[in-house]
Amino acid sequence: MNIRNLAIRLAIGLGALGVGGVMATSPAFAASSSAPTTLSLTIPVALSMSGLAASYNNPSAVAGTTAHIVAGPVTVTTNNALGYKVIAQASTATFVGTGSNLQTIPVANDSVVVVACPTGDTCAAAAPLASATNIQILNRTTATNGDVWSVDNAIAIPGSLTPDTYSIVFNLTALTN
Amino acid sequence: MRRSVLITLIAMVMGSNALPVAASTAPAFSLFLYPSKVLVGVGRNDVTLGLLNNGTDPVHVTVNPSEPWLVPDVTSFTLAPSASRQTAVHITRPDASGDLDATVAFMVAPTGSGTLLVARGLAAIIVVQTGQGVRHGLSWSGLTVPSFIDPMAGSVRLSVTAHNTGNVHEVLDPVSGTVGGFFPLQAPTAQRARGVRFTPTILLRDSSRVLLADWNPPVACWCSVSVRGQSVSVLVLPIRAILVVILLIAALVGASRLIRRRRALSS
Repeated sequence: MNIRNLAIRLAIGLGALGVGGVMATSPAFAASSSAPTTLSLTIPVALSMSGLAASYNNPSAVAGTTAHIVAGPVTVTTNNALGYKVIAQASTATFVGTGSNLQTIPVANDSVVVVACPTGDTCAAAAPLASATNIQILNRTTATNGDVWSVDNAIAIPGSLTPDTYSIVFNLTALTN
Repeated sequence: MRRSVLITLIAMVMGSNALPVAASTAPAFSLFLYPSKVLVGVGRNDVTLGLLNNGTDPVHVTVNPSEPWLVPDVTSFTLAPSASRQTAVHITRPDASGDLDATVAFMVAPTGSGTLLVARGLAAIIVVQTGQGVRHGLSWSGLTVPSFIDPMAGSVRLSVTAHNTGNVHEVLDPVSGTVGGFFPLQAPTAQRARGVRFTPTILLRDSSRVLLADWNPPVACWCSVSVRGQSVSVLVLPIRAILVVILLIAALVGASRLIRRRRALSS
């Protein structure tokens, strides 16, 4: 098949599609009448969060040093013209060990800060996590089609801490402004 | 050769439509809350909040209202991937004045093990009007406009701060500013340049917000920008264009002098 034949076949095919489209949209033997239809969409203020895993670990943390655990990346989208904010809070006052290990790490030893703060967002300076109060770690004052960021947890590990896996539940909540 | 190019082009066009779909992979965790902000007028006692699981993992959601007078129809539920649920929240207004601002959080408890177990959540802001003891307290401050503007640099960002010290929310729409003054080079579109419209917003009680506006200044003016009692004077001058014109004139004068001198020398 040469290029001319191909072009002719393509034109015929497109023409047939066009005729079909016209026939499909107009009823057979229809009188010339029209009924205007109004299409309207109501878009609510919405907020979405995605990408955050349920748990994070640092298997190479050493007692007497500061271990980093980066949670994320998180993607937040909102059509709210005032943007959104993110608050962080610990569920308990300490990182607890397993089994009969009664040693703990105070939650204040965990300093949280947003890393890769998106342009236009205001990210708070590193601050200790708390269980009694929440801390605002990020604020955005405009809508976004997808803010991507992560949260760095810098955990100061006491030098005398017994080897074990210590854990805490870290609440990360996004709200529209 | 021409045929292969044509086929390649068709394949590229088709591929450009098909690729994003093929390449998109949904994350394991993704939640979508709608509406995420609700104004509840007097006489209305229920709100409905929708939650969609856009992720590939099922999620077990706990519903946490911030106030005891917000009562959701469920305390927890499980959402399969792509599933959504409408949660009705009943409001029993306490005896209070002004607005009551509260949240309803949809939290997903962490699973598995690790040092950091992350409870992820989205919260909706619920603003409940009581209609009692309403007190308005809206004030403005801090209109910020550059004191000198070169219009050739494009639009200028203006800002002003709204403070709500009342006990009810304020709907700030529209927030319009005016530009008045001396316009020596008024362009046909100057009328547009004389208006400034700030981002509309809803200001909750006891809160402040910086509102922004982009202003396309006229070609030149000594003018004042005013919004809600705030006023700032500004000089708009196309300084770069003026400098270019001066340089061109200087170059022409220099060139003509050079030509005259050469002619004088040759004669």
